[in-house]
Amino acid sequence: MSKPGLDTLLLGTLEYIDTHQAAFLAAIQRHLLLFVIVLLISVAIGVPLGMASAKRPIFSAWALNIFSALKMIPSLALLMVFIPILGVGFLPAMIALIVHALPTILINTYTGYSQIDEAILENATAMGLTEREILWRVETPLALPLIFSGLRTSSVDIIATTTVAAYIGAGGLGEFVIVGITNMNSVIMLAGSLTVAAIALIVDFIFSLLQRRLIRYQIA
Amino acid sequence: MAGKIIEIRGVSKQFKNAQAYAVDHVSIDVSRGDFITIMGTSGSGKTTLLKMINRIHELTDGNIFFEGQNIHDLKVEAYRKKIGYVIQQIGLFPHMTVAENIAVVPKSLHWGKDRIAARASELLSLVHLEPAIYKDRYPSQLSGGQQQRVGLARALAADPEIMLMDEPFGAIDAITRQVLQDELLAIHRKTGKTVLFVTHDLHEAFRLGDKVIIMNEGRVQQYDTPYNILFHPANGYVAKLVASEDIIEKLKVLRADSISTPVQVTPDGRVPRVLANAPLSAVLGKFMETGAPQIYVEDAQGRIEGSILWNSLQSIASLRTEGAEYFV
Ligand SMILES: Nc1ncnc2c1ncn2[C@@H]1O[C@H](COP(=O)(O)OP(=O)(O)OP(=O)(O)O)[C@@H](O)[C@H]1O
Ligand SMILES: [Mg+2]
Repeated sequence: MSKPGLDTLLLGTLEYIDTHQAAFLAAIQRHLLLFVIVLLISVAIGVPLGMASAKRPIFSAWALNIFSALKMIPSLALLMVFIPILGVGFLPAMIALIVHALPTILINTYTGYSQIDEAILENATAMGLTEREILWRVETPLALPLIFSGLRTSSVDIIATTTVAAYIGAGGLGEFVIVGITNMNSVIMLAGSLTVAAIALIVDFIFSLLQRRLIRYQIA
Repeated sequence: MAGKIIEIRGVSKQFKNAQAYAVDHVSIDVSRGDFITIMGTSGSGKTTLLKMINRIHELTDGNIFFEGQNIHDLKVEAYRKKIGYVIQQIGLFPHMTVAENIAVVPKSLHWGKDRIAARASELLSLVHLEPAIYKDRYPSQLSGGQQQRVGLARALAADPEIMLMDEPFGAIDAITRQVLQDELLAIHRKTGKTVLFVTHDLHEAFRLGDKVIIMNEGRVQQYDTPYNILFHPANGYVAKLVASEDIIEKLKVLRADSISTPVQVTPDGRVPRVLANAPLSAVLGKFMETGAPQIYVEDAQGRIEGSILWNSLQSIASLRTEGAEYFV
């Protein structure tokens, strides 16, 4: 069999998606569900932890070290490590993805709160604002750009890594990629990976819009 | 109401792990409406003293009273809201517009929206920034001098009892700095606010302060009028500090109103005039230029505050700085 050209390949991919619509929609749903759950849980853990790390130096020493180390582990390796511990399926995949996404969110949050100019905080204190007022009216708005860019980076990351997580039973679009690879079928593989890429781009675009709305000022 | 607004009693500060005292048994009274400058070389404890007044630093020893009450017993946030604070680094909130920056303390005090907006406009005009042009700008869209004006407006927002200013014009070019000094003096005259102003510039200290605190190694060396510091230095340190100033330099740093006396008679239209915060060197120039025996000192609105006779100016020139004995 001769190698098909790029145009035939793309047309074949579109046709494959069209003829397998139901399976595709289910996979997209699953992929997005996993993404949303992982993102929400990572934010729920990473943002408060990052905030606490910035405020409590003793805390930050270990939290940051652990999470920086976690960030270094390649996603596939991380996923494989979880198999003997948790087995395979949706839940182990979810946990592995959270562990993978958390460091970026935590470290960005930590950096966001730690990089605030001392003079600004000194003024806020000297003006007689309470700690709570300073947190919500000064620190958090100033940390937000970095927190947000952490969310944006890890969102794209989660979507991509979820594809790999199909290896440990996460489901989602990664299944098409695996089927494609094992059967040496470029069309099926492309159908899965192109859709993942499209979702990642769309999510990134949505974040960029939100970012522009949320953050009106520029730090000089 | 006159009387003491701040009483600093035997106050010391020793930082953790530091051997020497940053502030060493300082006692100072500040009367309401005073403009006091605190002058000293780097590390002499000026900032530390200021930050003990607004309770950013705890005292190691001694007490500070605000309107007769020990500041240690006051609710710290409420107390700080009565103090305007302006620093060299300015520290405007970059995520807030100029108007929002000014509104921070009023908002925290639950003022109404209209009152806050009116106050922001009023203050921007006071610091010579056209409200319509500047109120919606972000700090990053302002020059350093404009940012410091906003910093001043923000500190004045909730009508504080006292202003603490730590080298607010330290990073600003000489020309703009002089403009800002004049504006600050005008604001002081207009509002009657008590000001404690830190600087390490002797000229700035004399130009602005009705009274000057000279600090060295955490201790107050002299707390007096610019005139007395120049002509009656309290000790060798101060004498050395002002010794380099020859008579022309001294005339340059003393303000006209430091030697003027109230006018007794109906002002005479032909008598030449100078501004109250003009330096005495300008007064000397005026005498030489006009040959008049007397010059009136007027405020920015043209009201006559007092007069200077040629004789009294001349007598300064013949004054020798006391304390020459310190140099033997
Ligand atoms: N937070 C701090 N911890 C330890 N030591 C400090 C602290 N702040 C100031 N010091 C020390 O206290 C002394 C007085 O410092 P301070 O900042 O009050 O000086 P200053 O007169 O304001 O000087 P400058 O003109 O340079 O601003 C210095 O020796 C300084 O090193
Ligand atoms: Mg200082």
